[in-house]
Amino acid sequence: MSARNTPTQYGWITKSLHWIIAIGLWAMFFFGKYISNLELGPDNYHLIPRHKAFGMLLLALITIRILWRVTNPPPAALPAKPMEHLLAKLVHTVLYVLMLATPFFGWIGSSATGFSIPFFGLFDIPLIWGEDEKVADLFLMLHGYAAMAMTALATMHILAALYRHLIIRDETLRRMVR
Amino acid sequence: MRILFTLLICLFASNVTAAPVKYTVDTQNTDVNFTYTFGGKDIIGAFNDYDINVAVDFQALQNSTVSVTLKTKTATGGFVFGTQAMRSKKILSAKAFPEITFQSKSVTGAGDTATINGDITVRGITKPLTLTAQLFRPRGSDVNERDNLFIKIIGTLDRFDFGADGYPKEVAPDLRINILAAIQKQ
Repeated sequence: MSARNTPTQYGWITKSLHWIIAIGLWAMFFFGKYISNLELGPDNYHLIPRHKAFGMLLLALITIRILWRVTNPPPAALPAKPMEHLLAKLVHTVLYVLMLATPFFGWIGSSATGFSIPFFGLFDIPLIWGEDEKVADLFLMLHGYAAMAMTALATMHILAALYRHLIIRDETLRRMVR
Repeated sequence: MRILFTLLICLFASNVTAAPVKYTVDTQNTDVNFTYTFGGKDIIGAFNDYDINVAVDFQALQNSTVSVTLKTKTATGGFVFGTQAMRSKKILSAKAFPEITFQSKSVTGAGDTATINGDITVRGITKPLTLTAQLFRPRGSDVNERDNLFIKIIGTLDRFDFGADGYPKEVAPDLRINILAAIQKQ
């Protein structure tokens, strides 16, 4: 299997990044929902820096994925109705924007709380905003909304892939799996 | 580890000086702690830079004075994020308000405990605060030892009274002050 994409197939790097990020984003969504409903105390506060560390890891992977996509274009889309192509392109574009925006909003909001962002105990991620309660509240709220929008679009993306696989019966899903 | 003699010094003991005796703090043997409740559990924080001045009149306790200055930038909250929260704008706002000060206005004695009424200033807001204090002499020291003593000062303040109102769901309002200071006659 080629590392790079070909005109008809995804390479293993694209596929790996796709599935690792997909699993990571869904896991982080439920992780975030879980900790946002917790009554924080000494036994569970560490989950918040853990969420941030995984979020920063995902942001790094998403950045790599975008750079990889720019330098290594994906195979051409399989035949479909023009409206389906348009819709797919729109969903993909907004998904990429939200995949970047969601952790980035979290990074700004978290920085503005004044708390450090330890990366799994190895080092601290730089804070990109000074301590400011209003900025923290705003961007952590945007972080939550962006995460919800992203999972809604990811759900559409999954349903569309299943539609192509089960109804249209083309190679759209298979070529991201095989 | 300091060793405390368990008997309280009688504040009105005989063979003592007439004027208030001024003491300075031995920082090597002093703990300036506070306890707060986070998520239902008690956490111990500390101030690592402080200035404590004590003057004790063993014959007329009302002439005694206590002043305490705590450097908020050295506050610790028991764990990394507790420390960051403690120094943040939501609690002590250490950059804007580098000191917490307490100045006694009256000292009275009852039984083995002295009651210190004074003013405390936190985040630029001054409110009255009552502390209680006990004096101890080191274990094995002479019964008339006055040069090297320990003073224990405790009290409770409501952080919301001073605008230190961050994290109201997670952190309880009360901060329990607990100072155990080794003091030496000047």
